Amino acid sequence: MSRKKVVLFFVVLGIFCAFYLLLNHSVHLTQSTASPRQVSVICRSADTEEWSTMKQGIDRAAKDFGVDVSFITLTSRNSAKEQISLLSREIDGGADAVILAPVNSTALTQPVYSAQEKVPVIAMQSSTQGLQSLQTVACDNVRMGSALAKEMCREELPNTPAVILCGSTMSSNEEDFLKGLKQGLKGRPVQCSTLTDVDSGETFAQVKQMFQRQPGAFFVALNAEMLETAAQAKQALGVQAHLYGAGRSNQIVSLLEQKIVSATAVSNDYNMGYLSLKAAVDQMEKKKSSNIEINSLIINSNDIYQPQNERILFPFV
Amino acid sequence: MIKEKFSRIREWVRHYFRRWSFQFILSLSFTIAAVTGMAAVGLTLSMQHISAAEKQVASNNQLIVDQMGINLNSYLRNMMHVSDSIYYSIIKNADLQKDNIGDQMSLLYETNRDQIISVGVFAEDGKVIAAEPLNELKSTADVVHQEWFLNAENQIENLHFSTPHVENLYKDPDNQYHWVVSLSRDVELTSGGATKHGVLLVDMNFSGVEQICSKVDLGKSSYTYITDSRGEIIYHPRQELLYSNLIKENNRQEATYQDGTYTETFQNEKRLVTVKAVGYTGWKIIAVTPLASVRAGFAQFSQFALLLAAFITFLLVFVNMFISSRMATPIKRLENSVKNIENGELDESKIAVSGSYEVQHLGKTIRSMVQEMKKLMADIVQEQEAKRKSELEALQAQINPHFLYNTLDAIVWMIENDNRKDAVTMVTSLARLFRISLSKGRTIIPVADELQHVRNYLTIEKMRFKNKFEFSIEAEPETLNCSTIKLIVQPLVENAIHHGLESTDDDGKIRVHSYISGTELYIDVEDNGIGMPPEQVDALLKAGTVTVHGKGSGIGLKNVQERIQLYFGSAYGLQILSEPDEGTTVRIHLPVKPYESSAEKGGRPV
Repeated sequence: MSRKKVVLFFVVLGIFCAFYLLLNHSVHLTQSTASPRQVSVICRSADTEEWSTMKQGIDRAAKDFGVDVSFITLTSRNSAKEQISLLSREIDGGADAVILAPVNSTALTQPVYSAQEKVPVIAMQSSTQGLQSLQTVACDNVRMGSALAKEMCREELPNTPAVILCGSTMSSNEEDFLKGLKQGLKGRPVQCSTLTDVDSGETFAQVKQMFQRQPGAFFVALNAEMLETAAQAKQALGVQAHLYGAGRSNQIVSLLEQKIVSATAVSNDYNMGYLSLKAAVDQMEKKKSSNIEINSLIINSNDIYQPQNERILFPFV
Repeated sequence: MIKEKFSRIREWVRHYFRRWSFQFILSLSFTIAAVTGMAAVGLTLSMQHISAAEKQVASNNQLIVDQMGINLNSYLRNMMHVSDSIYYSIIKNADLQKDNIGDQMSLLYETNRDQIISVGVFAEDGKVIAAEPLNELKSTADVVHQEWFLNAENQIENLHFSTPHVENLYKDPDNQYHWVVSLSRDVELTSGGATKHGVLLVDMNFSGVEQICSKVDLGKSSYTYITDSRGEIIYHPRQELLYSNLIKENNRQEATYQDGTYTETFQNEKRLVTVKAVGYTGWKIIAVTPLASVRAGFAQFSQFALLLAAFITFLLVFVNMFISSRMATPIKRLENSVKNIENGELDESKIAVSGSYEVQHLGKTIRSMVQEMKKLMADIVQEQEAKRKSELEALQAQINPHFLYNTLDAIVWMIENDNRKDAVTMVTSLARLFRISLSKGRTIIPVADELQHVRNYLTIEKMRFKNKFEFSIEAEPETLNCSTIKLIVQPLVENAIHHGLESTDDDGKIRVHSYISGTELYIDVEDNGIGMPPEQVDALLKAGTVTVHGKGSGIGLKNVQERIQLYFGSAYGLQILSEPDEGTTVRIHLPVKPYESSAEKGGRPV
């Protein structure tokens, strides 16, 4: 064999050796460096059943996608300052992505924008004002409010006023829900009553007074805690007022069964949790992503045990 | 049509094969054969490997669903045993009008409370007769229209298992809602001696089923799930995702499968499905393994195998190149040797003999063939030379009869004129001339004999020409014993007499002079005749030319020249020095060879 061919032989042999080492190294790397990614979830409140269901969804997604999740809850339910501080702390702490249930404050816009430049940020339950680029996983709260208004209109009492029971601070999803509600109740008198926060313990008395003042009115609670409190007040007073609301808990279901609550708007919280984490993973993997809409239902006392409703009301946990 | 195409392809292949070298074809053929063989073996092995892996997975899945079936069967039998116990030990033995069955049911419930959410006995109209741990029905509970109740009433001889649902019968002060699987059966209730139908309900905690199933570990991407006979999901490890429509399952289709293992495609994914029916309930345990996961481990192996195959191919290419080179190079060398032979280079030592035994043998054969050819050619040349010599010598011999006739005529004339003395001299000279001409048949004779022969000839000719010329023969003594070809000087002398002197009016002189210069022997024949112009001199010895001047054709000179060169080589021969009116010298150039050595070799008798 000529000298040229011998040189060629050794060159190709070298290339093969390099490929072998590369392949071996990549296998070794795949086995050794597959450390799970860290995702932080900053929620507004952790003591609701809705949140518990959402967490189940997040946990399931974490298992499916091989992600470590840490949950952080605000000490004060709607504190923008605390949420900004936690967001910054989690990113500095090495989180690869953050899932945020944002409070309703414009103060959050800039910090979230800055955080997005470092890691993927997903908004869960509601969006942040003025941040179009933020991917949101939430129900269409306007449509949900509108659907509940439609359910209320089935009672065919056109002149009966609707009293909206609002907390002192509203989250953006509550605001959207209210917007939808007002759109749906067009032509009907709507009165928004701002109550103290449920945590304060004064809400029960305030709602009682309202029931006493307007016993024939339609009452709408914008969240599960307010709805439970209002239902307890109604039960205590034994009035025949129509009580509607948004949110889900076993107590609300029981109240629905007892017809103390006429109907409630519920979202698929498990889906919301699961899809929020999936969206975070997709963003980490630079996949295309857009806002995700979660399905929601209006459930009244007659259709609680319909299979579809049953599955949303009683998560498989 | 196909035949024509096939023929065209064959012709194309042949055409291209003709253009390729033997080494290239050899190397390419070996490589193609080796790579094809390797690919076929690799493919077969990998397919067998995949098939074996799939069989192994199917076998594992079968084992697991069998085990799961045993566990689930045991669990369900336990529940059925609870139902049987309530029915046969409590209800059958009680008259509801006077007996309270609640206490006994409570005892049974407490014993199995980990697995049971509630037990209850209902009358035909749906009223609760006894229930544990809660017994007050919700106002909304529509018992008689519930599925479990209807199933029990419609098929009274069977036990019925429902799909998972949320229990919605009893008022619970703690607002607890449980996912349950209801086991219902028709029961006969005795009240005041009368027998009525009722329904016994055991609501099993769904988590019991879940615990049995969730313990099963089939690996990362495999799972098992349970459906009822209609394909409704009883248990699925990702049940909530299914209920939320985030994933889909092929449960409706798979519920129709009989026990066994199947391969199916669902949502563009090939999967291995193992189905096992659970005895009494009609439920089906289904194990699913995506085939991609079976082959996932094989992918890494494939990468290494592919690299190994490429490496072996590379080695094969080089080995093939090396081997084909070793095989083809000796053949190429041999081909070059044959080309040289074609070009007339008959040197057998230059014929390549190398390579394998067959090629070496071929080389040796060609060598011996060339040797034989050379020998044959030498023989032919020798034969041709001998033939030519014979012809020349015969030609030389043809002169003699003419000369003999003239001489004898002269002798007759002398005898008639009583010139007896001259006649004796002439006859004596003639006799000596013939004796030397014969020379015992030798062609090579000593210079002395040749000169003697010339002397005799000149003596005869001088007498014939009536002393018209004088001659002298001078020989250096060392030349006398040198070898010469016989009868080469006489034609020159004859030419000198007939062409040089015959036309001249002066007294002719002929001088024959032999001498040695260096290692060469020269015999000059000089005459003082009319001489020749240079162009005639040049034409005399050239082959194929015929002289036009004078009387002779020059054949005698050419004969002599050819004979000298045939015996002694082209370096020797004749040289003619002549000038018109000045005379001519014809010089014989021979090698100095003592006669003894030449005599040993001998000349061929003529």
